[in-house]
Amino acid sequence: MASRKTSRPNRDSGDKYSVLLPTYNERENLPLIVWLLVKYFGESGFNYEIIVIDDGSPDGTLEVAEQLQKVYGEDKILLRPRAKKLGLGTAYIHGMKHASGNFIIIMDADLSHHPKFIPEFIQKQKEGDYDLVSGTRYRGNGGVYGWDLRRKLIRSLLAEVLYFFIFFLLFFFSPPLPPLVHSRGANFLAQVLLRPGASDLTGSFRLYKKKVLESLVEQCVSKGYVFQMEMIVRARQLNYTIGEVPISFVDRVYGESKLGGNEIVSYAKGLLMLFATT
Amino acid sequence: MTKLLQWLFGVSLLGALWALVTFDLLDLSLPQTYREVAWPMPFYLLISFGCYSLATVGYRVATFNDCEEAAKELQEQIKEAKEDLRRKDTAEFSSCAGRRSLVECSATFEEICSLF
Amino acid sequence: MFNTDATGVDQAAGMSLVVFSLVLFTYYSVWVIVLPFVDSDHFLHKYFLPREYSVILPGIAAVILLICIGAFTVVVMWKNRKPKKVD
Repeated sequence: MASRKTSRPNRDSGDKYSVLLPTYNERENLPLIVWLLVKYFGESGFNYEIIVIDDGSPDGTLEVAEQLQKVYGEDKILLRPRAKKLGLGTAYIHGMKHASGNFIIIMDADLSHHPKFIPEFIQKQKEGDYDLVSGTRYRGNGGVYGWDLRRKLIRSLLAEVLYFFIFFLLFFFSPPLPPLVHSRGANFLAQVLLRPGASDLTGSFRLYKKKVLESLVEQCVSKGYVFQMEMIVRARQLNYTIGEVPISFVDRVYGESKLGGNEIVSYAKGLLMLFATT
Repeated sequence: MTKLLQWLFGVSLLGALWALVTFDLLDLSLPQTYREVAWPMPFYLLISFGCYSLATVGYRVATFNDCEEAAKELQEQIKEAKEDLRRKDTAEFSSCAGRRSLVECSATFEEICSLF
Repeated sequence: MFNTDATGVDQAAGMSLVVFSLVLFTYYSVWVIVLPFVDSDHFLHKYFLPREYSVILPGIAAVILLICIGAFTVVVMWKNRKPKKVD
């Protein structure tokens, strides 16, 4: 992952990248993630802004964000807080309203997503003029730190089940021949076996064209965990092009983001919802 | 028609085809061996699908990258960031009850909260 | 690749899953697809149960799997309901 980018003149491209950071009780992590974002955007020279959407954290995340705003400037760090916890999907809609960039980057503020991958996302996007670029933990140099065998097993199993539900059951009989059959010249088998753009359905480190994200958010019905997955599914359905960048995912708070039965059941519910409504 | 209905429709179509061959409903007088192969077909398809999924899961688990270096790198960058942030905001402004760094500021907030 | 013991164990576990599924698939394929075309006095028949078991055994497995999934869902839903009552 040695992607040393010496300062290149990327400012002239006219592209601006808005990073949406939904936070809830991230007082300790927020300064660090912002510092890293500034560092990597500074090195690569892309134009950017960071939009912090705090959902009324009781731990004072917002105060910390205000301090950061003073350090890095109000043009770089925008605060768009909300009064209480209202969920991820609405956080994106809320943040997007205030975003001035033509690209939106979505990531977690808990440092599990490292900003060093953003220049790679941007490069990938430019390579194929992709509508969205998704970070994947399950391909290439991607991976996860801090998962034991049990978690690897459950996660892989979940990914597998989700994949088949979506790509067989959701697309197989869709009336205008499934988009996966004739997109980008790839044949059906390659689509099923290689899974372009869908190796990490539940990941949440992504770069969207702003217009694409707007139309996707408008269509998505699910909430919570299922939201990220539905975004990719809808994107495939609408024939948007998807690029993938391998990312390393550092699960520092071991056990905290444990995949509980709760999460699995809500995935199942979300899938059934998708079935009944699409 | 929702995807759910489409899927049910597709499955019942396959089921009908299976019944036709297995019970020879059209009196095509198929050889006995064909019918014997067709009979456990639904289960055969399920098992092959299950095996393929299991193999994929196993392959994923076996080739999972553990990203030790990424964790180390992050740990070092966190240290670096904390030092840099401390330097930056003590130099630039004062708030949060006097001159305190961002990092300290967060700590004091916690203390204040714990009083209540 | 062998950074730690844990990785080695995980790799072994993953590969054994792959091997297991391949063996299972091959065995079942022979049982269901090949065997009907083999004469009934052939030695191959000694290694397989009577034909009806090729449906009965997966059937039992499927039922057990469904029961497990159902029980899991019920347990999770039941746990979810509990704290709401306390509030």
